[in-house]
Amino acid sequence: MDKRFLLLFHLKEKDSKTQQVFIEAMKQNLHYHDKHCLEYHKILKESGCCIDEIHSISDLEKIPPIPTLLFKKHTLFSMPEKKKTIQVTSSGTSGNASQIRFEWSGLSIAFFSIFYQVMKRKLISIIPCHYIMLGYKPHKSNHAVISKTAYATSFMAPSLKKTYALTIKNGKYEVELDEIIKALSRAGKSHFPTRIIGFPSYAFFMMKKMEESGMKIKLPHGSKLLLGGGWKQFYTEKVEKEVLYEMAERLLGIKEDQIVEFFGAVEHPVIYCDCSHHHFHVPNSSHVIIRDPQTLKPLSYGQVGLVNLLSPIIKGTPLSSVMSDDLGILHDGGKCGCGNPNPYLEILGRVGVSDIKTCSTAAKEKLEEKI
Amino acid sequence: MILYDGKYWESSFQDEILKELESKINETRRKPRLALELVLNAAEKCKEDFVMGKMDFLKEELTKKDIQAIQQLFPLLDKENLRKRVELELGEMIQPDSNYELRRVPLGTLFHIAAGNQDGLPAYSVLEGLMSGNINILKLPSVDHSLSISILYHLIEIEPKLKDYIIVFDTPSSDSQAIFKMAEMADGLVIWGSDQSIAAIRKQAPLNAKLIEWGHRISFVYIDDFQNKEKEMIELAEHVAWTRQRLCSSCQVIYLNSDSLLEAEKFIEEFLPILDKAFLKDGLSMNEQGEMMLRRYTDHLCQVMEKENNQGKIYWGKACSILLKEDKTLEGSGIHNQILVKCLPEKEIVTCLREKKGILQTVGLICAQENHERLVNLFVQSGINRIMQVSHMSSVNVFDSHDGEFPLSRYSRIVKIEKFKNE
Repeated sequence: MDKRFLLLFHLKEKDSKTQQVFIEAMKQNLHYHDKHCLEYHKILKESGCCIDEIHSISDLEKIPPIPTLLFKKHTLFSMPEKKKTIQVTSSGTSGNASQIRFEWSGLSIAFFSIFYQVMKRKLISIIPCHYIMLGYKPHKSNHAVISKTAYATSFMAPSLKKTYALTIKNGKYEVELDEIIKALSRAGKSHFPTRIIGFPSYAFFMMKKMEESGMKIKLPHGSKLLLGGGWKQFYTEKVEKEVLYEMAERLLGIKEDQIVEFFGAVEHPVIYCDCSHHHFHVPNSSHVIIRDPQTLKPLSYGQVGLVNLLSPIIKGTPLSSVMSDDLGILHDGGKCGCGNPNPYLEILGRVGVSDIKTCSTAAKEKLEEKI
Repeated sequence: MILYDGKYWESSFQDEILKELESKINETRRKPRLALELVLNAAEKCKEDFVMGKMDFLKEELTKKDIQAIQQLFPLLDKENLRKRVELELGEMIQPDSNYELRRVPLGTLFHIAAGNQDGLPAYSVLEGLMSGNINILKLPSVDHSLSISILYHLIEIEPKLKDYIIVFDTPSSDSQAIFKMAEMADGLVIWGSDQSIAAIRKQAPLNAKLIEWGHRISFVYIDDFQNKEKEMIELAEHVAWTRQRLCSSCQVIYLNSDSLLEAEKFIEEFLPILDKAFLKDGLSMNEQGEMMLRRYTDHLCQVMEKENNQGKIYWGKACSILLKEDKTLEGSGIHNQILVKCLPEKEIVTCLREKKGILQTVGLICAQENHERLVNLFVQSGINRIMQVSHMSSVNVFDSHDGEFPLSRYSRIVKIEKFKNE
């Protein structure tokens, strides 16, 4: 029996029974990857992790986390391509992109997990709306998972029209903020609500441009701002959530309770949807361990460290336990106040400074540009 | 934040200011030329105020390292040094013909697009513009915090006449329309190599504006032979740890005059603990710790999976790493706290470096005195602009050229005037 599917009966808040289901699914998933991925087998063996000795949530710490950096350097698959799989990539902000293979059964579990969360946030609607997509227009050449998830998000309510911020021109993506603002202006005169979906950076740039030109739009009741994908290469221009929310209310007429944020990574198939207090509670198909950046030992609530994400739902690639390159804090769920007792994850930003252009890397790029 | 007409403005006023800026600039241009003495006195006073702690409020936003880096710049603001520099770069012109006068004048208006890899550099670029008598529009880099704008505001406080010559915008590089408007008003575009800005400006620069690019450069260390091994290794380690590969003059590759990888391995074994100690002196940030751990752990897993690491052999310290590579290409490691070591026999120096012509900057040379001149000639012939001792690779001197050229002369033009004849 595929124990991953039992998680679908435990989508609500975590209790000891849910934890046991999660642990059993994890063990089964680990056995699968151990058997079907030679490289992963070697890693498990070397780490001394014995799958059958995992009995409790704290035992999950023994599973060796695979850094996302490894997926960027090497392909690790537990299923051959000829099986019914799809292959996607990360956005490759820092240069290389991870190659990840998903199978449809795992994706269906991921789908129900996020479906449950968006239902809770009342994002499914039958009222048609205008979509302003602050991200990539889907294209056959674009395998980045962020373009696919944003596109999928545009099916939570029937679409009247979709306008994209990044469209292909002369073979490469170009930003069309002016077109987006014009589309928003038109949508402001409509009786139907508007959903703005995409990167927070583009939402900020768009609103800043509106602010600078003295433009304000009152979008119809029910309009929403759905954000995900992080600040990526624009992290130096990152603003606090509160600033973004205040601008959304002042310039677009979208109140804070109509703003929803998502967190996810291609190497971790469970998408996190924020609660009404804008916290990312850990869904039941996922588990988070914060690890000390110097020793990799697990840290307790409130301590800053590397974010280790665990989930048993994918068989195509050994994603059971991955270490993202994010720094984060895990908080006690009870302190949120929204009613969800699951702990919540706060992402502080990416480790390292590889994204910062040093003089020499920029010099190299410049030379290549000339050639 | 914008600095215009000697006052701070919210960024939202950008478009309004841009609308009236051209006529404001023309008004200033109708006035007599900016007196050099005013600029020199203001710079000197600004330096004094910094030393006396009057600008300590800025330090809250800066790290200890940034403050030390800024303190290194103080001699650059010394009045007499600046005066000598003007004499050196814009000295008296020889008049070859008594019927004509050749006169050196400012370009007019400079638009500075500054890079963010060195604190205070944007303000210094404006100071150079002022010294050559220009009106200066500055676009700040996104990572500048408020250092440069505060320094320039303080200069205006000291000498209010400078308010017409200093305009600062915090426009993001993505706002190409606003950047183009600023560029249109300028006679010269001074571009300090922020990649996004350079690409945008190159594409859109008005044809009638002069492009003055101070682009990013690459530097390295060449070890021919140690004279005082321990001292020279410590100096090299301190340079690497201090500059963290951020500057154009930061060492990216340590070349050994050898073709023996065994010799290179021996050098690394000796050098790694010294480099580690230098990095640990100031401690590592949480970011650096996390990045080190992830890279190290990933490298370990690659070995466990028996996957080849075709990038070279990594030697791990506690706070840094050294990557030994077999090729000879001059490149950056692209990763902080990691330095490259390669072999480069003397006879291959020119061939290797010519591949990077146009972006070469500094070589830190470790050699015996009898070999110094010979090696210097080889590096000069290869296109290097600075040949320094390792400990001085990133030190700045008021009389330095920028990438082999004097900036003040590039911010000026020569006018030919036929003498008035009363016939």
